[in-house]
Amino acid sequence: MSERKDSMIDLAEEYALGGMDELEQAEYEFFLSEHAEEQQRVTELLDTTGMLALASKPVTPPSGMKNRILANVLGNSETEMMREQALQSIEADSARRDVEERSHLEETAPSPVRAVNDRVNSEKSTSTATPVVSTAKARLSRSLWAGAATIMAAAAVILAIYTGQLRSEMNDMRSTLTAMEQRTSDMQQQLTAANSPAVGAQVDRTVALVGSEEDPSASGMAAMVQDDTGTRLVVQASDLPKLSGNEAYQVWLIKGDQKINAGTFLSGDGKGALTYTMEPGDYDMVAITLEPDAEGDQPRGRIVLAGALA
Amino acid sequence: MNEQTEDLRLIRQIADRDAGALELLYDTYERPVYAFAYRLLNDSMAAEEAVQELFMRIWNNAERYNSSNGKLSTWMFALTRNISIDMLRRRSARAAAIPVEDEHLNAILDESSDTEQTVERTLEGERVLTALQELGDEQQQVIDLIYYKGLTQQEVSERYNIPLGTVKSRVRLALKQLQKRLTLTERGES
Repeated sequence: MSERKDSMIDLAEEYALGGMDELEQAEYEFFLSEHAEEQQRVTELLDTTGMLALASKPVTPPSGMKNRILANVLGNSETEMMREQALQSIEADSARRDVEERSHLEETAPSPVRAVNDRVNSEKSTSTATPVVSTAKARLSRSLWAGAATIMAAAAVILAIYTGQLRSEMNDMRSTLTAMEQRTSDMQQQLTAANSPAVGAQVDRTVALVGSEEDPSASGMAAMVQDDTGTRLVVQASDLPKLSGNEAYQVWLIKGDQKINAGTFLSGDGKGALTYTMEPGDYDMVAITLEPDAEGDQPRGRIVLAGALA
Repeated sequence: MNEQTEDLRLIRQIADRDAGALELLYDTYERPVYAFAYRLLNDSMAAEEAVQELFMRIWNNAERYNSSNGKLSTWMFALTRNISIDMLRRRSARAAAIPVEDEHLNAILDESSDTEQTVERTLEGERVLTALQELGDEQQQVIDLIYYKGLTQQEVSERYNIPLGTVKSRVRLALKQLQKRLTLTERGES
């Protein structure tokens, strides 16, 4: 029997009482998954610690607690289903409207350049109307001619400034367009590279991910793959607990106290996967946590799956 | 039908979204899980919140219960403990928590418990309490700090200035003794 196995067997009581930190607990659960013969002893110890709960002094639950809890649990369940149905309906409507609007725009909308020209022409036609009026009134007074000339001069200056602004805006738009085209080109290159078959890819190692005490049926696999672009962590998980609200799964590479976020994924059917280009190094473990949302840069939720890398 | 078989039947029905089965399970475990959550949190509103979260998880994840990993009650109490300890940690209320020894000041004795099941549970609770009280003071202390107050072994070592190795050996000994005493009393050999 290996020294490691001996030392892990000694941890059964510590595990059952629940005083291990998350890393120790994940390591022990990984050990248990590989040594089924220890499971029975641990199960008995867990039943013993479970009985400790019964040593609590009897306390009368608050009045109406049962109705409140069952209404919330069962009500939330119905609300969640209705929310999902509503979301699906909204998404379908939105997609339909997008298609309709796009086809409408293609048929009727002028191009940005034509829109600018239309605006310039519109301004021109408005301003050219002024001398016609002025000419009609010229017979009345020479001073009116002078006034009209002043107005025309002012209109010409305003038009020149406005045209300059439009030209500037067009130049800005062209610059933006060029930058976006460059970005699109870069992204297409990246996409092409990502879609290209990996050259010389080698699986450095694979690790089975084991479900935590709360999620014993969850399972998964993590693999470290090396190719000519670097080292990638490939994680796949199944039978994960159902997510609710903003909850998300996050993957972590753990080395001592350092926890590196390797990505976030959502799971609708209990399955999930992601890849992460990682810095090569000696990591202790890889873990998947159930987080309250996808925003965290450090773990806040509980570990659902974990596997030792050390 | 014994308790475990009945529990197994209920949890399967709950996995099939049977609300009636959830209510039956609730009726069976309301008092022990509430009393346990109250002991951990020492706050009636927080305890109710913990019980609600427990039944929410059961309703949404009943299919995850695996009977080969222990009794349903073990799973439910483990979930209750995890939920309560998460709440304690989130609210940083542990420092302000009233010691378990003073808990009787806040506890209301349950005088309306007249069902056979509740009486059985109370007797079982007394059996566990007796077994706990027969442990040495140091062993009782680690169980109290780790199981009921949610500290890790490392935290016990740091806060009470006890070497980590000593904490671990006390845990090992305490659990072995407790298991042995409970097994003996169950057989009526005490």
